[in-house]
Amino acid sequence: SSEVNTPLSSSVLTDVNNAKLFVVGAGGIGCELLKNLVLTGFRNIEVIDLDTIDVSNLNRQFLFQKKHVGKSKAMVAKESVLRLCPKANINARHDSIFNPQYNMQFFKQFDLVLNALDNRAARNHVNRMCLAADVPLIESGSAGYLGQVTVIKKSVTECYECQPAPRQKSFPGCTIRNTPSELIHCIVWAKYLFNQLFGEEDADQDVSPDTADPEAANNPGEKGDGSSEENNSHDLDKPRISTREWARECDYDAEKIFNKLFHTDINYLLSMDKLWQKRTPPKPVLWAECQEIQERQLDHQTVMTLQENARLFSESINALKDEFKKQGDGGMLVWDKDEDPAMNFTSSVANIRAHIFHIEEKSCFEVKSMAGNIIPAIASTNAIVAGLIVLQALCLIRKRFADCRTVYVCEAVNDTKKLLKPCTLDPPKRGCYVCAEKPEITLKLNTKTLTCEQFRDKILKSHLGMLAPDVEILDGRGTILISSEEDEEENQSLGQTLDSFNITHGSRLRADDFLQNYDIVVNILHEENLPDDMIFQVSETKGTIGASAEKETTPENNTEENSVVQEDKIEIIEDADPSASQDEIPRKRKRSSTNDKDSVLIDSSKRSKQCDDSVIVNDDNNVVVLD
Amino acid sequence: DSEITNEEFAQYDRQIRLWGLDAQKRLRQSKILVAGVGGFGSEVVKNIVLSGVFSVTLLDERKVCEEDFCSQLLITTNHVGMNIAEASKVRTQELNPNVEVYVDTESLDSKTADYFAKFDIVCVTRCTLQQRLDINNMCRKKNVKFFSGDVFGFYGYCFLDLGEHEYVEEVTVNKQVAISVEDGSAEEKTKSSETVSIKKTATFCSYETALKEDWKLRNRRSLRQSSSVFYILQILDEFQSRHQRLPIQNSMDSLTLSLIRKEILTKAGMKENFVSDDFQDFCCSVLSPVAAVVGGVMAQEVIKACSKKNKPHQNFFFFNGLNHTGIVDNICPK
Repeated sequence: SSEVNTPLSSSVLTDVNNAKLFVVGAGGIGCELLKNLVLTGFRNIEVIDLDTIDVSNLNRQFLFQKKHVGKSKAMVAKESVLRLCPKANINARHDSIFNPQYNMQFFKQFDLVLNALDNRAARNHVNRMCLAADVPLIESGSAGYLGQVTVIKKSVTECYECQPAPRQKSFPGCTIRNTPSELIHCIVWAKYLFNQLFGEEDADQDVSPDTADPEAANNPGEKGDGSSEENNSHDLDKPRISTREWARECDYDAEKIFNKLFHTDINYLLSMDKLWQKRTPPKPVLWAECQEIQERQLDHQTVMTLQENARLFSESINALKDEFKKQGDGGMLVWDKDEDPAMNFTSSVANIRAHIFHIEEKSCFEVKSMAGNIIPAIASTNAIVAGLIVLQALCLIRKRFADCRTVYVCEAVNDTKKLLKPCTLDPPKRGCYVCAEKPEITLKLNTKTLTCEQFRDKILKSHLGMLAPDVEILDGRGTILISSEEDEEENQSLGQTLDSFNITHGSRLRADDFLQNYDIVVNILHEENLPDDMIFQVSETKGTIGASAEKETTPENNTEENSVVQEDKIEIIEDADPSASQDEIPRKRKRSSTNDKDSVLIDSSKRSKQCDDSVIVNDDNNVVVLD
Repeated sequence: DSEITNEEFAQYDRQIRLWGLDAQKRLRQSKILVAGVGGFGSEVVKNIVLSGVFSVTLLDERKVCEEDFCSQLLITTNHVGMNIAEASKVRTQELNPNVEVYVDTESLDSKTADYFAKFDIVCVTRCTLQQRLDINNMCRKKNVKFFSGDVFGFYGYCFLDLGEHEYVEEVTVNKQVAISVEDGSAEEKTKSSETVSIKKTATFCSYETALKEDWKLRNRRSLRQSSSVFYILQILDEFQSRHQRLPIQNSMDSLTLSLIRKEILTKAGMKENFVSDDFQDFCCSVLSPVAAVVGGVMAQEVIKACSKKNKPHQNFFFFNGLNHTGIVDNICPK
């Protein structure tokens, strides 16, 4: 191939031909990346993606066509790319990157790992695997017109987790159940209702009025007429039955469910009169009041009337009832924004509730954006990001590490005129609890109430990103607190509190994840008076003041349940993370690398709202920041 | 029929959520010409076709050669020797069955102003400076929006002349709203934002006019923010006008390029080191990732121009793939 005219020297081209790459993700960025890689001359590529092709991918994931919908992204991407370059050696895996077979030895076979992911959990995991295997990683993301690329190299640059993850947006349970003030509160409630009726029942997703609302500290039900109606689950004299049981008993009758949710329960809320001293009280509606419909043409962006929403509610609940019955005993439905009945149900319920609480209704299309936390995605941004990734890869292949940059793709330029903005790579953060040499974290928590299971799930897995932790108490005797090997049943300690293992103020634990080759010492500070909504608080990480884990949990025990951004994995889109953050992040300054000495300081502190948590933009000068 | 079907809605869902339904409706009425379907042109075609325009015409008289396999994504290895526009047609159509794909294998020079007038947007790539100037002027006369762009090794550019361009921009207005806090005891000011659409106009100059800007009038700060790729482009244009071809990676062409560099920069009154003295080692052929970056930026500008949504970049974009910098510069005599 040396006769072919190319801007790469023949020795670089040989190195490119021989390099072995691992591409994680074959979605929006992944498709563009694979194309660029083979055209540039890379010949040895492994690609992995768990996902299958959806019709909404086709506006940008150009290696896929309509006939491929439902098929494995990795497999189809491989076939399409081979048409461009039949001699490329591509190995496709339709699999999860979390599969333990992709261990440190597996990662070590590559010269370079390229992430083209769409969620923080997988990014954290690949970050740790690359640190463990000491393989350079190129990280990337896009959201709408914005994008970014960076290079992570052990002990030389920041790792993906050096910057704290933005907090997830969450809502107090009583706002959801009693006093919604925004459409999003009604949407969260509608998704809870879906699960209560058809999905996995979860005690933390109660949709009935919350009598324990601290704001309504009086005797509920005094004035409500709701107590006279049948099936009032709040009637203290009657045993409480689950929403699903009740719905099943009335055979998912749309009218009965409607009247209970939107009339009886609302009247009950009205009886908690302290709630309405400073608020406009909700206005209950009856099924019978919603039956007169003015027929008109409806489309995706129509904001429906109460009557139209009532009809959509009835249609969708009937469709869901049929689907639910098909599942048989013990079966359930999984909420999916791309399933019409589930989405119509969510939209109609949320809008009816919004109407009752005097909140502005929105179209089904907009409710879907909010309920599914959809991040818009276009071909051009992904093409730019994937191009920038390969240019970083070429710097690494050419052994010009000093030329690598974090590059931000902006939507518009400011007076520096830079649309694609390179910044020098930062060194590792000293207090990073992932890439620091002997990471330690100090947590304030109540050892008398926190169970081992909460410690494992909410702290080690959810906050610290471990997959299967083993925990040892550093008490000189090597007491095992949690074992990743044993089954849930065998791990009898899980339900017990930490203090029953003599874990107290000043105790030290070592948590170890074998697959990630990652271990961390956890210092415990006993604290009985944590701020509201928290089960733990990060006091510090490795001698440096770390981020507070404030609002990490809610009274309902878990952020995720109360958060809109929960887990339909598609809702997190293209190569960008789901957990849209509305929070400001600690100030961080980046030094822009210009060709001359007068580098410009770019303030990337303020992070705007429209972005997801890995791609975040400064309102002032459109700097995008990767966490 | 301007109603978007449910199938289209499903396919374009993620972009309608970005630029809105009105923009999508305007896109699906737009007719685009892409002249020059090499590696860079194929990137532009891919992004435009995926977006769902009405039609794309691929115009190129050239035949597929080995070098194309390093950057052209619409052809396969068995197309060697075939007309490159013709060879690209099948793959282009596969990208989006909603888009009409036409092929024209005639020469660019045979095309008249009336030909260009059939399109809403004309994009030219891999052409001479003279062709750019002529076609730009024909398009201006016919009120057709004109784009040119190209990639040379690690460097690339794109240029837009949208004439008098009207567009809509969405602006977020923050307003202070009083919301009572959960415990009901206090009131807290919370920001709530509202999006409003504003109509704006941008006025562009022609390529010919842009070249008349006197860079000696740029101050030091402005020069620091300017891209050397503007002059690399002029050096390559000059090379092409002398040799009727682009340079290849050899010492003869290298030497010629360094000489032209000196001439061009001296003539412009610029310091010679404004363009680095090893640029000639990195400006041959088309590097795929650079085509992806510049093709992405140019296609997004085409989409903005068709949909009349959002502020266009005015009026040049330059990319240097060695230092990863992409610059938007308004080059026009002040």
